[in-house]
Amino acid sequence: MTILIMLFSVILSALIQGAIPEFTALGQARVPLLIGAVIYYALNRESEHMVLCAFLAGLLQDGLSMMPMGCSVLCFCVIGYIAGKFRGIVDAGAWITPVAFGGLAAFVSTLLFYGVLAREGMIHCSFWWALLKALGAGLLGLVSTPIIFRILGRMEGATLRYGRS
Amino acid sequence: MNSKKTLVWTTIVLVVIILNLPLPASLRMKDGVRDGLAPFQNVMTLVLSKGKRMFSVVTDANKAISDKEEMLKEIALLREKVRRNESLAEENAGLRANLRFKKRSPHRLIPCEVIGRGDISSWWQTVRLNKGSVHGVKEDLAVITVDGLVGKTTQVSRHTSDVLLITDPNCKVAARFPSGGGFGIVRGQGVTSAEDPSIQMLYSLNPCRMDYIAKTEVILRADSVITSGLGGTYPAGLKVGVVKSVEEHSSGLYKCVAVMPAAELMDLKYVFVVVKEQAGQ
Repeated sequence: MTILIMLFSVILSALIQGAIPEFTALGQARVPLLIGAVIYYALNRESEHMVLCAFLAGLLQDGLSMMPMGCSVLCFCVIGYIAGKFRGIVDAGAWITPVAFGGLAAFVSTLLFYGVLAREGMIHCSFWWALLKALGAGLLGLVSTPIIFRILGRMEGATLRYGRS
Repeated sequence: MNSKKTLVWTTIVLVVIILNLPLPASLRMKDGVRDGLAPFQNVMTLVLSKGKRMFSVVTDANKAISDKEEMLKEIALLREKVRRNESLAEENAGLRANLRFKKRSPHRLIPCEVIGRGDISSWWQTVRLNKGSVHGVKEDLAVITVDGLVGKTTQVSRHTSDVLLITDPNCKVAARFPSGGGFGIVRGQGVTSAEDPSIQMLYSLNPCRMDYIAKTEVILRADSVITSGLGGTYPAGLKVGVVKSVEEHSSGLYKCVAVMPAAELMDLKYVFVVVKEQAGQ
């Protein structure tokens, strides 16, 4: 059931992330829903689930954008792996955890993408613009990740209760 | 512990494989993802636009209720009816204009609907169309609306195609002025702040800039900018936009012009892909 919820949530996140317009004042950053889902599975579930989620989220992001295939997969796996190292150390239920991890992950992933894409000559923007975009993504990650945690937590809780009954 | 190690190694191997996939396989993978999700993207866009319309109705009604509750209930209903009729009339007029434009155009055009706005990774300014290679769309074809140039097709799958907008810095258009004939290159300013980090740039008030115009050229505000046909991607004579301001480049070697795109890029619904006619056709 966890896998089904993950599939559903990642596909829905990708669709919503693509449909919500970018925020021009935040360096045209988009709401980082996919990385939020990866962080959820990294902090709340086994490594297998995190890897599967990172893979799926990365494939969708690469497939639906002009990124080279595998770029987001690598980035999401690395960030998920690092976040997973904190599982058991931090309290995933505390409100500050998704805020901090979501914001940081969105910020770091945006800078990672900038590094890769600028090096490949696929984008033409200055570092300052990328920094603004990363800060914007971080800010949006601060807000969106706790919501993702809450929704996914509720969905998994509900299916667990349903399974028991 | 052992299974964790296996997982880490499997992940690394898979990531390396994906990163090193041959280009055709990588593109096939991309096409699969995009074609698979295209219907859902279409539904999502539809739901969002309906939601937006509903939200505007609610805010209008709330504003009205604060004035006179009883009367405005009726007005809200009437407004909704009028709005519905207006939007239908607007859509009707738009479709008629598109149809006339298609008949009038000297190029072969493929009418397409915009099913997605913006690149999911936010690094490129793109829109996604509902037609792909099976409909005759290929890479590097000009995309236009009734008003003017929109951009060019980049990644084309079987049933969808991505359009790189002219406001993206990666999109360069060979252009000229129909009046004087001066040539230059129009380039998007969408995400770059390298030369002008002012707040204006953040809000993309000057979405495009035309560079490399001869200093002797006389350019006036509101002059039209059209494609020159050089470079081969864009046919000559497509309207790109109008001149907003003129200045000399900091190097003093040429003139630069801020260009406002003629097409309403923020509100694209229907566009046309311009098919290149083969020699002899």
